[in-house]
Amino acid sequence: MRYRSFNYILILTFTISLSITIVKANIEDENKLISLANASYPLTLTDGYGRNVTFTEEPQQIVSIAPSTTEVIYAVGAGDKVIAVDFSSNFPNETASLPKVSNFPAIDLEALLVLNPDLVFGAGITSNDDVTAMENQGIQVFILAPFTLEDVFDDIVKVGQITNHTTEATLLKNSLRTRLDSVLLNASSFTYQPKIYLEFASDPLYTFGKGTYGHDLIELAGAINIAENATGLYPQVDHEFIIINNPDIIFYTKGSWTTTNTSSITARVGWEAISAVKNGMIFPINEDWVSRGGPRIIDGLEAIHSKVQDEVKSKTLSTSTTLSTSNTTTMTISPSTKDIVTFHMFDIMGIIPVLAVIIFRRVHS
Amino acid sequence: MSQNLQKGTDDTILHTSLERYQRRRLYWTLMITASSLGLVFSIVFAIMFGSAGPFGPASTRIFSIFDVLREIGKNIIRPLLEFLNIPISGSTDISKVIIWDIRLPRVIMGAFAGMALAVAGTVMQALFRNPMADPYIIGLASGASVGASIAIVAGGSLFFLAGYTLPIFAFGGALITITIVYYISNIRGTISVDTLLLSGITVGSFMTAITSFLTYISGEHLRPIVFWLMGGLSLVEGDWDSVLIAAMVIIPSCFLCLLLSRPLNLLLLGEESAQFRGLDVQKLRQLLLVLATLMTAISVAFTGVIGFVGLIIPHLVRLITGPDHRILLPVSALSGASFLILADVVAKTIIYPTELPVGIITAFCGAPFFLYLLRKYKKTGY
Repeated sequence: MRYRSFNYILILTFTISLSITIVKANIEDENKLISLANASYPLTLTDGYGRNVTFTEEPQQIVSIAPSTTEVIYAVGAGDKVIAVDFSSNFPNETASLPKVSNFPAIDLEALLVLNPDLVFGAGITSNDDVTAMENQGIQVFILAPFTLEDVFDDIVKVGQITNHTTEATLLKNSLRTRLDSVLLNASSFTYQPKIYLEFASDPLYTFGKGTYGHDLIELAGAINIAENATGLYPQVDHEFIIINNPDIIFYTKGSWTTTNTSSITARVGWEAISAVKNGMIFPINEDWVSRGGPRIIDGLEAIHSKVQDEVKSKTLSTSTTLSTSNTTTMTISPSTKDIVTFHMFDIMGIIPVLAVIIFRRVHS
Repeated sequence: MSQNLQKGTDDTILHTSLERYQRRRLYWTLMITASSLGLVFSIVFAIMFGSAGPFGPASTRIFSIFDVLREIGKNIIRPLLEFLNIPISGSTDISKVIIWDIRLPRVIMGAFAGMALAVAGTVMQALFRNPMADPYIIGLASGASVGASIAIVAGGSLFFLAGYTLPIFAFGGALITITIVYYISNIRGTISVDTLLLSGITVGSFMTAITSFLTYISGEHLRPIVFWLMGGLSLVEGDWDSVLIAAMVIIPSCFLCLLLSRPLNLLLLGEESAQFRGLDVQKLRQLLLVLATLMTAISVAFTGVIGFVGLIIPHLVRLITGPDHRILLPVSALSGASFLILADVVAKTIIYPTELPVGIITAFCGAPFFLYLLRKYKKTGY
């Protein structure tokens, strides 16, 4: 939402000249940056933990201890400087041949000392204590802890500056922003917002709540996350909640360990009533696209957006032919029901019979 | 009794004991009726909670209390109606699915699991003559956790067991652990309670180490494992088969334990006294261990490790009924069932739409309440 409100007016005003503007901007940026590219050290930048880190020269040996930072480093073209990554880093494929140190969320300080890198890139999962421990051993640390897509863009530029790949980083940022803007522009033309359920794990069901990239991507793509009011980053929800909120599209994350597939979702009891299941709108999505604050997050956004677009199109067509298919259920609501009441009351109710007996015994003894 | 004897006549003795007998029968009937009513009330109450109402968020509420009751009633007499060829009207698909297929299995499983844990806890406390005993005391939970963690971490590679991979592994893990413990403590054909307890705790620690290892390396599997270790009833939503399987083990086991309540009373006197009164202590001990293990293992297999119920419900009920197992066991079973059902309602709704593992609620609500009762009603030691 925050992006849209900001970009709405801007984008709509320049709808026609949009593509021209972007090309122009790119060229201008490029020209400006090429002149700057080699003159940036010493360089002081603020990292994701608010620390000011000063770089006196271009780091030659880099270790990344988080999968998202690995992706950013490679995306700006500094992959040849990476000497080791953590065990969760699996993209791009070049990382497969690198030594693996540090298993999320712990760091392997000894291995880091042996490798003796000029710079360690960590993410929000790296604890403050670990940062201090590394610094005490003379290892320079820079944390990337993006919360929004804007932060991801900023981080890309920062990594570019640090590794002396400013040009590539700025170009990458601009191209990502262009892709984001075109999604936002398209989403702003939608006549309604489909509801999405983005499943993170089954048995029990876990989904993406507020504060996760998954949730942000759904909103940016022009849809509504059915779990937007749930407590927690990855809330556990029940089957009834999904069925009654009736999502138009279901995404499930596909990773190395997941066993969920489209037919296993269709086979769940009661899910045949969900319109996503009825209309075959169930899709896998790469888990890393919706959970890592790296450049591939835009791939995730586009993947979600394209399905949202399909859904909106099909709904617009069907409503123009048959207007009476409104899905809102208006049944009789019992008058006495309130919203969820205070629950400690109910807990005590369970022992009412027990208390009754206590009282009975007292009276008769 | 001594006072009665002093009074002298046989008539008075007979009269007094008869009166006491009648009074006790009245109390017992009352207690069982009250706890049965409590259970029925809990089930009906719990079924009213959910996203579709009547107790739930206003925005998605579509059922009234009567809708729910009607749906339940209709489904209970459905076989009869079908047999008589009477068409069933007014039942929309969604209400049948949500109330009958999704909510009810969860509530009924809560009842069976609570019943199993409470009865097993009572039996274990008698068996070990130890107030700290609970159904997991000889390492059952740790064993089941190892099985469950393996199933979760191995994930899709265990496809041959289909949807029952996790329960089968958990059940298997529990039974294997208890068998190991049993054979370790079986010395020349007799089992000493102390050896059983010690070897149970040791084997349990060993199994916990394996679970901790699996949890630590699990990465993305962490959430399902942690959920399972705290226990929850959401895994049986929409799954009547699991409930039936659990019922087939739990109901007969509970019933057998009820039949053994007199020998259990004797066991409280101590091993030797029980032996002198003609009880085959070894046999009884084996039988009770098997029963308690079976029903705990099956409930753990489907719901995860729900703590506290098996420890506290027997104590709580004992405060009211006294230590006679003939009344303690049935009331424990019924109260355990109600307690778990209500705890699950809280787990499901307290930070709606996010669900909590029910183990958090059982301990959080149960512990302070139990302490209150303990302070208020407990006049002697255990």
